[in-house]
Amino acid sequence: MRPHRSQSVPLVALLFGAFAQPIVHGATQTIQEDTLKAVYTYQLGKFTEWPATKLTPSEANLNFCILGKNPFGSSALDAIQNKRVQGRRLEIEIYPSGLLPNEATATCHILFISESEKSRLRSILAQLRDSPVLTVSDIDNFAAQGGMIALVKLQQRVRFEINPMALRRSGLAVSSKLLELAKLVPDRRPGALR
Amino acid sequence: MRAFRDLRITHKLMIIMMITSSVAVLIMAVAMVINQAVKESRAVANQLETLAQIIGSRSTSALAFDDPRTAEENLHALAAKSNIVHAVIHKANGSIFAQYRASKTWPDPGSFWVFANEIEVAKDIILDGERVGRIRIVSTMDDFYATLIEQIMWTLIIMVSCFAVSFIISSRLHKVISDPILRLRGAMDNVSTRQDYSVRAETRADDELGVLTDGFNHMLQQIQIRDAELASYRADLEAEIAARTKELAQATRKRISWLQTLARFLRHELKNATVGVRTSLELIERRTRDRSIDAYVQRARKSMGFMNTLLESVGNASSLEASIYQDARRPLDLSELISTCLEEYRSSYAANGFVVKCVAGIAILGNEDRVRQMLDKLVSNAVDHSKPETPIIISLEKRGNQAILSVLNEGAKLPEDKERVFELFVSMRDSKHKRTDNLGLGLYIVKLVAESHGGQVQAQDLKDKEGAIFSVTLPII
Repeated sequence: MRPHRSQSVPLVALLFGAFAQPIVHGATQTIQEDTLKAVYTYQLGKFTEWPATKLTPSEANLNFCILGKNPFGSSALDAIQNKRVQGRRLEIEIYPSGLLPNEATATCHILFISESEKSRLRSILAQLRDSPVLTVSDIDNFAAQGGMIALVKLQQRVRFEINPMALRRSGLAVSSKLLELAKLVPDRRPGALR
Repeated sequence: MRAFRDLRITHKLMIIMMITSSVAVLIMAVAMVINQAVKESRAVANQLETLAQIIGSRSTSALAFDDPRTAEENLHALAAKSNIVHAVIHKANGSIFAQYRASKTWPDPGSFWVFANEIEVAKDIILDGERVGRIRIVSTMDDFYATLIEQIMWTLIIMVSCFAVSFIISSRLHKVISDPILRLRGAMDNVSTRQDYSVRAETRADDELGVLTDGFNHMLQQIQIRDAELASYRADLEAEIAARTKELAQATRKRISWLQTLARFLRHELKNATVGVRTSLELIERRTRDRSIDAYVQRARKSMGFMNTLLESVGNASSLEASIYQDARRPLDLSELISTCLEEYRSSYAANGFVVKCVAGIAILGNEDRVRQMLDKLVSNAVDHSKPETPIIISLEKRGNQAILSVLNEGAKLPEDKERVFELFVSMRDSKHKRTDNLGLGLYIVKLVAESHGGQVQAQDLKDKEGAIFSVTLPII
């Protein structure tokens, strides 16, 4: 299955969206939640360190993969389209079928698992097998179930839950600055390595 | 400046050295303080910038994920720095994201300080090459001022120390210059107050002052040599004068004793001889019958009488000269003497009139009898040579410290060789009285008396008419 490439958005609009507008403004709820989640997910890339084997210095793109039914509206996608993360262009790839091809495990840097795949979560995580892909999702208890970063809605704001064990197992490192903001959640899967 | 000019050289040198070193130290101190102030203010700014950098960097995630609470926590770390008044994190669009305000307040220090009381630094917060916000920190300059004041205090202490040290050093060093000058001055004082030219100023260095001192010493040496020469000349001269005086005194004594012998001889031996002649003449007169011889005897007797008179006079003159130097001297008012004698002259020489022009109160040191004798001789000489019916003019005046007594008469002119009139047995003018006793003794006595009184006599012709004036100059007391 070929990934669907999103439509490119005008650069000016992007810049406008990124800087001029209060895109991150949870308190007043002027921004759609999906946009906020999209932006947060992409920004997580800025605080994450991939192993050099996964993100080689010559690599020009950082792949943002969405697994399952795309939860982001067009304005949300526009907000993150062509963004740069760690000097690389953000490439959005969507796997709407919910099936992750094996090559995608290698190419994806950030994997957003859609709520639609809630039931298949266990098998998806098993498929990934601790490969260095930053898994992000807004599925309840995502982190506790072995996901790396969960987006949680808390007091009208989107906050994080981080499973440091999962990160460590996959060889990824997130900045302490990010950990500061997050709630750390232990892996509650039976038999999970501590 | 005038006060400075009149200061002692020691103080002047010290002041100059102190001013020089103080100005140097002051300039250095000011430069040091300014340098320190600039450095310190830069350090304060640097420190704040570093803080802003650290907190900004720590707050990137908070900005990225809209978590102002975390950002505020980060800002609260600034509470550890007591100077920080206020810190704000702005979002990229400029709105306030998080802020910190110190709980304590600062008194307004006013506008005393040259530097601002507060410093503000601002830094962009960059996340992954993107500007996500800006941090601004406002701090008081309290630390800076504290450091600056400490620095100024230290500088002041150092300055005072430098001042003290330079005072101590200059109070010793000035001697290099002032000592030779003071020594020179001391030597000069000695010379001028004690007239002691044997002193020498000590030379210790070969500089200009050394040369000056050497020059001064050389000058003193020259003066001393000249002094010694003068002193030896004077001593020689005194010795010579003493010798001459002695010789003169001896000669005078010899002359006096010779004169005394002569006088005795004339009075006794020759007189005794004349006694024999006179007795013989008496015997011849008594024994002879021939009256024709009487005329010769008479003539011989007359000659005999004249010879006796002559002997008497010469004897007197000799004893006068012998005794005149031994007479007692007293203060003598000449004008009084003249007026006393005038009575006598008027009666003695009634044929002549007398005119007297006297300045009163002229006194000399002399023997009254001798001076009177001198005046007598002058007057009788004038009368002798005066034309009939012409007055004799006696005048007394003062010229400097000399009394001038002069006697003037109209009549015969003086001979060509004026000075000879004062010699013994010389009578050169034609006298109207061919008196037997005019043996040329009068003017000799005048000269004798004048000279024995430290004076002199001179004779002059009158300028407008025939006649002569005799002037005796005598020293006034």
